[in-house]
Amino acid sequence: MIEHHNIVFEARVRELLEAYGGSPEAWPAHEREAALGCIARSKTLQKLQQEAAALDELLAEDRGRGSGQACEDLAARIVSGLPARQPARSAARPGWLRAPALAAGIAGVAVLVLAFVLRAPQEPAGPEPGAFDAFEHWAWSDVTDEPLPAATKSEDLDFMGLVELETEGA
Amino acid sequence: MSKKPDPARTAAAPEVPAIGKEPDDAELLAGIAGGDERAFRLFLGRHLSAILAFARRYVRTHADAEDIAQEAFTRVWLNAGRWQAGQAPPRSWLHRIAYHLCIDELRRSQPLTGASDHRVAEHTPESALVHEACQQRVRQAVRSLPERQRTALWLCAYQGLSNKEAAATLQTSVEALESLLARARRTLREKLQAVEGIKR
Repeated sequence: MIEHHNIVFEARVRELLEAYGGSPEAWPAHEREAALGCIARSKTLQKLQQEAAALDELLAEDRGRGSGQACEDLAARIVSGLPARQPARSAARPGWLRAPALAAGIAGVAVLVLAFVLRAPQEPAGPEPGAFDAFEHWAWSDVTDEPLPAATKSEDLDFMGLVELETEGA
Repeated sequence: MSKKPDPARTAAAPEVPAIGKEPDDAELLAGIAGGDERAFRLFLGRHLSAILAFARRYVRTHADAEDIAQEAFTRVWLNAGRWQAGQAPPRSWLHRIAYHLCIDELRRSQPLTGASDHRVAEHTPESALVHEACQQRVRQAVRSLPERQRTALWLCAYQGLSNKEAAATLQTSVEALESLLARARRTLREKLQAVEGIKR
């Protein structure tokens, strides 16, 4: 069990070396101590750490920072070029002023909703009265060979685009 | 864009902790959100050098990097109130702003190929030239990495961000960050085999 744990952790140390390099400072703090212990017991890991450190060394040569004076000049430029901005709302406006504004906003929204409801056109309730009846009559004649009732007019069927059918049946 | 004259803007700002106690970045951002210019100056002084160096790796000229740094800190000034403590550490938030500006700049301009680097000194002693040539090779190798691998490496190896900060900057998990880093370092090792000190 312990051996299995060591193997698993050795694999994790390899991952740490591959990802973060050979410097223990670069490893996640909570894994550092255990990883160092593991490396101390393994010649293979020690070799891997050396290789990772060699790459770290090369990368470190390219690690640059802006010069102090250049940064100071830039900082001055940034500060002098800052746009004006309103202070944060919570700091700028006292609470007693916010409550009426909120109430007015809610009232405004309510008025708008009410106006919309009152002015909205009524939804059509459905087809004109009799339209479905006409269709039912036609459908009835189609399956019974009975003549269409006299009350059924071609304009009643027109809404379904069925005038031609009526004509053919006549 | 109107310029700064806004003397009243610090009036209602949350106070930066008194001198003697060094405010952390989160406290500074809270101050900046309230319009405290002193907090902004502290935050700027703390991070400008790193952000400038970070931006310099993406763009061709130092002036471009300065423009990006200026824009990044201006956005901090304007949007500090949007930063939320639970989402990302302040350094990650700042680097993310700079990162997006750099990517925008890269999209606008030609991608960096590393074919030439104006930073190479022309008249230097031979040993310095060898050293510079080595550096240039490293730079080219790093720049040839896929963009996210390169950024992961810069954030961790150069910017000194922790793995959680770097992962938050790239809006990914720590596991994914480690994968990016491992692939980046593997590629670099292969490309830099011939450079002194690198062996497989």
